[in-house]
Amino acid sequence: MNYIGNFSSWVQDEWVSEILSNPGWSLPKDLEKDPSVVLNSDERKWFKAGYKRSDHFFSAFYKEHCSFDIKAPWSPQSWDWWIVKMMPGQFIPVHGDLSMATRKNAKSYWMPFQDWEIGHVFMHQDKTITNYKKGDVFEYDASILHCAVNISLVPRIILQVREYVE
Amino acid sequence: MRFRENVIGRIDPEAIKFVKENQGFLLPRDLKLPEGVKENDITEDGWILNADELQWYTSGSYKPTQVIMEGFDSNNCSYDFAKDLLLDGDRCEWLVIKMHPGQYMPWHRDLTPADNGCTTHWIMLTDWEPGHLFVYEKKTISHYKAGDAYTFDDAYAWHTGCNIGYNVRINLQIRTYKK
Repeated sequence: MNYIGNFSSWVQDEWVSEILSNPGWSLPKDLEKDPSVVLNSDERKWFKAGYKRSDHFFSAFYKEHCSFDIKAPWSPQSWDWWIVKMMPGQFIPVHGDLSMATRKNAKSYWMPFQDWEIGHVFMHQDKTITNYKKGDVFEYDASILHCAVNISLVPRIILQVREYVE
Repeated sequence: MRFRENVIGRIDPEAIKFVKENQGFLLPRDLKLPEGVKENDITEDGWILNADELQWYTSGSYKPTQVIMEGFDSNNCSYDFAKDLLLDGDRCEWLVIKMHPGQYMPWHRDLTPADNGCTTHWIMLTDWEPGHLFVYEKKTISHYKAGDAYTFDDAYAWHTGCNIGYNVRINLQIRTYKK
């Protein structure tokens, strides 16, 4: 995990309010609505381990779910973005973003929309990240196994950005 | 949190096998918490909720009818997990926690005011793998082996465990008390 900088003043309160008050895309439950989605081998292992496709792990918000667009101020390149909302008790099981890792020159960034709370866990390989502040940006290798869970009493909202260097 | 030693040689393999192959108490559902339960209320089975645990439910974040893990103690397991282990005190209580993938314990502190003089030990009964979380305050323990034993520096410290991996995660918690 490489720390890039803090961009807290760029994060709009309205974005957080909108995410909190809308359902987004329920994952993995809503995957069945989009037959073009192909699970990678780590994700397929979830269901062999006992997780269910009908589960609601967390909510994802893509551009089509939001009234706003994201132009990451630290990244002038082309990129995709999505926002993760995890309510207490929600999680994403361990996985590597293998399909993304096969793309040459792809970079992944992670930005919390609120200060770290006790019980907000992001584990990258064997390390967890704590004490972060709203707007902190970290670059990480998404092909390495990672996972996240919210075992606190308050929602956890994270912006994910994937940059493709031309 | 400090590492003590590996005690796997002092744990009956049949006891671990029993936990792996059987279903424990479904927690918190089997506690049958009454509506309006309050801090330090004692349930029918003798469980006491402390302030942190009570807040899981009063905040609406978690439901007492959920199953977030399984538990084994002397009421549903004939093996004595605390026998021959590191007992710093004069008496002890033990609890084995089994978490299937997707199960977790919300962040909390363990103790009630009645637990003065308590020391808490955690002994891992399965090897660490990615997605198995064991967090004590801001410290994450990983790469542990089955039998690795840790002692809390502060029995009242914030901690949690979680399994968002691929295989079952089992640990033993022992609390010891001085007379």
